[in-house]
Amino acid sequence: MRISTVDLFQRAISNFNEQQVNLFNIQDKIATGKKITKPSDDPIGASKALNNRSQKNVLTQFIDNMQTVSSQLEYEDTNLETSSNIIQRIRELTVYAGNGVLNSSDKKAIIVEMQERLAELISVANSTDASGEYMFSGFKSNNPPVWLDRNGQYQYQGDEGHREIMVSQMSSIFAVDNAKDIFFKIPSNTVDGLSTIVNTNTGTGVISTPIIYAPIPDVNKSYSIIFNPGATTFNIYDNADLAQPLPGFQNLPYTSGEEIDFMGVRVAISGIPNASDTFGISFKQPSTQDIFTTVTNIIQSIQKIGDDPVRLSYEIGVGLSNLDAAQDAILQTRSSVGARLNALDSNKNYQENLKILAEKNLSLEEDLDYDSAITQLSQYSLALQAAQQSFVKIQTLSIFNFIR
Amino acid sequence: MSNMLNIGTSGLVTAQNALDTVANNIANVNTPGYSRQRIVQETLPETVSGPSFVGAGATASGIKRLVDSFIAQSLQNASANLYQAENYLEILQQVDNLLADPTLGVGEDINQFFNALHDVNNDPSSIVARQVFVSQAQRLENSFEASYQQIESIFQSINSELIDTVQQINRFSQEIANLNFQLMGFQDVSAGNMPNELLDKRENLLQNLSQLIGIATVSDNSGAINVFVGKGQPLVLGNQKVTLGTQINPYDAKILDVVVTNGLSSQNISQGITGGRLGGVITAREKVLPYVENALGRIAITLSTTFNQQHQKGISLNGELGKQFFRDPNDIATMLARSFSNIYNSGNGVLSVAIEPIEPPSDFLSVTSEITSMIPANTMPTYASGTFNINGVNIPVTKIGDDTVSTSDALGSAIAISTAINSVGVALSVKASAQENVIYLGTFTPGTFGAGNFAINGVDIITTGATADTLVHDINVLSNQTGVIAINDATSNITLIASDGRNIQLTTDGNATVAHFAYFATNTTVALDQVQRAPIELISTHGQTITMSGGSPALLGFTAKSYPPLYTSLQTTDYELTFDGSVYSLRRTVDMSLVAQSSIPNLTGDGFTLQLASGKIFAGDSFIIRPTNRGATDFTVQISDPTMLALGSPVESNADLYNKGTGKILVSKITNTSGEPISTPNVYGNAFSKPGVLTPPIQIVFVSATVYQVLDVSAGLPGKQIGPDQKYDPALSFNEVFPITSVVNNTLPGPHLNYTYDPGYRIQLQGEPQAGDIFNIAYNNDAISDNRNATLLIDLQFGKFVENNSASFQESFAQLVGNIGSQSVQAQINNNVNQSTMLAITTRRNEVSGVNLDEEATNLLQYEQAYQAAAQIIVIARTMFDTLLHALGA
Repeated sequence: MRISTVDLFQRAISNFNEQQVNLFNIQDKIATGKKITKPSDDPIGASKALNNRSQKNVLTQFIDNMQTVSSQLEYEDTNLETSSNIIQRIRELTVYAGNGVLNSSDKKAIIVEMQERLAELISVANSTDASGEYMFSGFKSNNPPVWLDRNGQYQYQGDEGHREIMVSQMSSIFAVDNAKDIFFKIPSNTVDGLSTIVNTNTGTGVISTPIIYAPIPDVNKSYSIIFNPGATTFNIYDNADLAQPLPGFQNLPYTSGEEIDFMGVRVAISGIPNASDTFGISFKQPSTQDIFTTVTNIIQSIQKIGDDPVRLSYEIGVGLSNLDAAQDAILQTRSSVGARLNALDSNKNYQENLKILAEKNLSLEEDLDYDSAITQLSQYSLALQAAQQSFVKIQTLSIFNFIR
Repeated sequence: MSNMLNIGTSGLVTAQNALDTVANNIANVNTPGYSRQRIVQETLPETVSGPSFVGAGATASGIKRLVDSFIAQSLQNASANLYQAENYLEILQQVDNLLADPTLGVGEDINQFFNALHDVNNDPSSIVARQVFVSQAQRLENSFEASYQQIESIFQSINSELIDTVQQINRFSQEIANLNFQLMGFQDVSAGNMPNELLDKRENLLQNLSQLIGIATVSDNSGAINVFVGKGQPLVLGNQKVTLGTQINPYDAKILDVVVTNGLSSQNISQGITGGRLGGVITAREKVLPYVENALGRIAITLSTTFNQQHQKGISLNGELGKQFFRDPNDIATMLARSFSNIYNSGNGVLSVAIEPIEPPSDFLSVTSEITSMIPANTMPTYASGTFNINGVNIPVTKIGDDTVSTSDALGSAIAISTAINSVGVALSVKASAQENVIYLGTFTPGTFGAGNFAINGVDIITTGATADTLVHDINVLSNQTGVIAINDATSNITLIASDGRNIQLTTDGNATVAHFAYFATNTTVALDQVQRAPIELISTHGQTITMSGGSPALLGFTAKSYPPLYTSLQTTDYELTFDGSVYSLRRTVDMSLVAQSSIPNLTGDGFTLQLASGKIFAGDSFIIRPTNRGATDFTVQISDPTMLALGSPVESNADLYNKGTGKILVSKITNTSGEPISTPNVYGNAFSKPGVLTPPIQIVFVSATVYQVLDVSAGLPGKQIGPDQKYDPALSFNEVFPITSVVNNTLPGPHLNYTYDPGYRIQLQGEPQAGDIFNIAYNNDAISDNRNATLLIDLQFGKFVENNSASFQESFAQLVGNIGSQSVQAQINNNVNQSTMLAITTRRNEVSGVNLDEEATNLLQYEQAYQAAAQIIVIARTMFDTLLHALGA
């Protein structure tokens, strides 16, 4: 075969070019530290790396989210602990108020402290987070959760919302509980009202608003006061059994305006009833009472009914049981907060491990193996040098050099 | 002696010619396309001298190019291939680089978009977090737009490259035609007396031409070479050239086509061009660039569609229902911009292309037949085999024994049909069951029924009818015979229920009953014997689509279609719509496979539908449909006010503070906030028809631990009950409240079908409520920290919405990158192969035609010596002559 002189040079040029491209590429990789500088370097690796990067991103976000929830839950727990302490102090004061014989200045001191504690409790329930939003209002974080309306009733102004924060692809954790569960919806045995039912009586007897002066044996029962013939005596019946008067409440003499005590209820009838006139009494029992009403009721009891030890001790008893229920509700919430914090901790470890794994995978896909890259670099530069030197050698060989 | 002189002279001249040729070779050592030359040296004719022939010397009869015409052809092909591969690779590399940096661009911005959404989700009332999210969304928009514009700029540069290249081709073909003219008559290439330089020049021009466009050459017997391009389109014929030009594509003004202009008419040859630079850029323009734009567009459209769908189910910080967060992929301008009509269409039809809703795969599918009105007994249509198919399987005809409890039309009852379906149910992946059969009879006016007045399922109801309670009691004592129980409400409205789904047959004599039931009063006063079939529910056992087909599924109250409707998802191909005068055909341009055919311009493609927006389409008209092409540039954030981000749920539910039980209520899903009832027959309810309130607000009241009522409290308390009393099972993990079926439509006059009440949201009850417990459902005002919708929006990040529910947005982008990467690798390999081929053939050519300086140096010496020797001959001849003269003259 023959070689044309042009080819000799062309071949050399294309060889140099090829070696230089190789050198350039490997140098680029060493400079950026990346194995893949463009998708075509490793298409599968490039797309895997994208997926790994996105996974890493998501995991970082989840870990951030957990951080956010953690700090919110810890803040909530601090508030709950404070509330719990306040309620504990109120309980002590209540016990103290119910115990000894107090003079009016003692009572006053107790009442003053209780009122302060109540205000403190309300301010804890209405506490705001760093951005000034009420933390116990559920989704309605612009409204203070606890609000005393014009009728003197405490109202919950939030909703049942629980903000869910995603902490992994499949799970989320409730941040912050709402005051409805913590402070308002507290199971209670309080009878907060009695209603009287007066049928079409023929006499002029009227029944007073009944009050409770001692524990009610069974709030689900209702009773009737029915006047006997002659209307000078009356019987009291359990409405479940209108044939048989309650034992001990048969043929009681009637005196207008005199207080009648039965089954923990105190009521008075005045006027002139006729025979068969009936006065019914039943209980209104809400199943729940908020802690603020409970405390207010205790304060009022101490204030108003200090002269009736039986009734006071009943009211104190009810108050204490409600306080305990409130304490329970807070404890329950705190244990749920604690459980969530624990779950967060373990989940966080897990997600952090996953993130490390994703980073490792990403680095495997993307990051350059410097040892082999530098070896390659010297290989390529050696090859280029060899090509250059051999070319220079060859091109000095020409017959024209010898024609003189 | 003169002979010897002549011979010497001939040697001298020949050697001189040879030296000239060698000198020419040396001079042209670097001239492209130059073929080395050799003189053709011959002996001169001998002279006859006596009996012997005496040599007369040598002559150079010609100068010959050393060429191999086969190699010249191969070289043209190889360079056409090489330049095609090179230019194709060059464009791919531009795209490759575009997608190169993983920390910039669409993929990363999708990640950041959802990360910002997480931050908003953590603190939904923070305006700052909301603003960051909106900015991030705008960044994603810019990123999509930038990618799109970069691809578009490649389209632009291809256009200017086409214009340049076509001009160059025209110049070359003109020169070739000129050379053909000059070379006419020089047919014999092998002869030594050819215009070598012209031949070299023409070969070189052909070689250069094939770098621009793939050519086929044919020599004719006049010595001209004819050049053809594409699918046999002549470019040079003899001394005539055909002019190429560029022209705007008839469908799409952004694309230039290569055309042959012939007088006034021009012919588009873009499709046929292969090889050379033109072949490379046209292939890249057809295969690579649309794919990248479409793949990006598909991600953008899928993201904006799914995000908008969910965003509209939420409420903003101001409590308004969410608007479209991104520009609606189906706004009118966008829909029209997806179709491109051919400028040569004879009709003026304009098509609009709508993207179908994009839903995640569902794991629970069911469909319930519509209940038909009451019909005279023994007239219920039975159906022949083949008239009803489920999932393509024929449902066998019912037979006696399939329903043993219905008293009339047992073969057509819901029980019988369900039995028949279940007999082949495994093949269908469907389970059928007869539902409760309910008839509302309206208000009962007290009155006596004797024998023959009123019968339910063939059993006479005999009652004093003193009150509605009496009637109900007297019906219910017979329920072991009738299979029907009656219930009444506070206002004496009577409802009959067959809970096993048997037919209910009502027989009346038309006289006694008329006065007593509003229902019958509105019918007729004559005797009636009517029957009603229960609805049938089909549940997919493997979560697959249920497809109803066959002759008349309507006989059974089903509609011939798929549940849920089948939407194949968007593809990355474009489509072509043609009309032959009777049938519209929609084909994928990537492989010309048929997608849909229809006699009206209303077709469903892969995840899109198209219809005629205006004008008329005539036979022969055609359109190009690009559903996803502009998706990346149409992707626009429409909401700039961060408070408009709809992160909360529009429905608030709560348990009354004084509930005694542990019952809980929660809003599980928002399904329809359009303010219109969903477009399904016999389903009513639209809770979001007025801003800021639910229409109606709902109260759920438990009448016992296991029964609750759903009340419409729009007119305050006490509310109006919706539907019958509902059963509550505390053992279930949750009880779904909506939709409420069998809601009696008691708008008189006349019997009405019951309907389903679906307010557009779902409520779950759980726990153990007690009698008297109350739950309220209202519009969710003031809930600034509500993030329920944000959580659902975040879920989209992980949803497999793209590529037939196989890839998330991020994965789809990674696929695009991987795809372009491997195409680019493929093109690189292809290019390398072509380079080696080119190198090998060039070497072969130079082996034959190239100049080797050492060889020429040797030749130089050789002919120099010959020249010197020939000169010596002349010297010798002169010496001989002198010798002779001396001898004579001495």
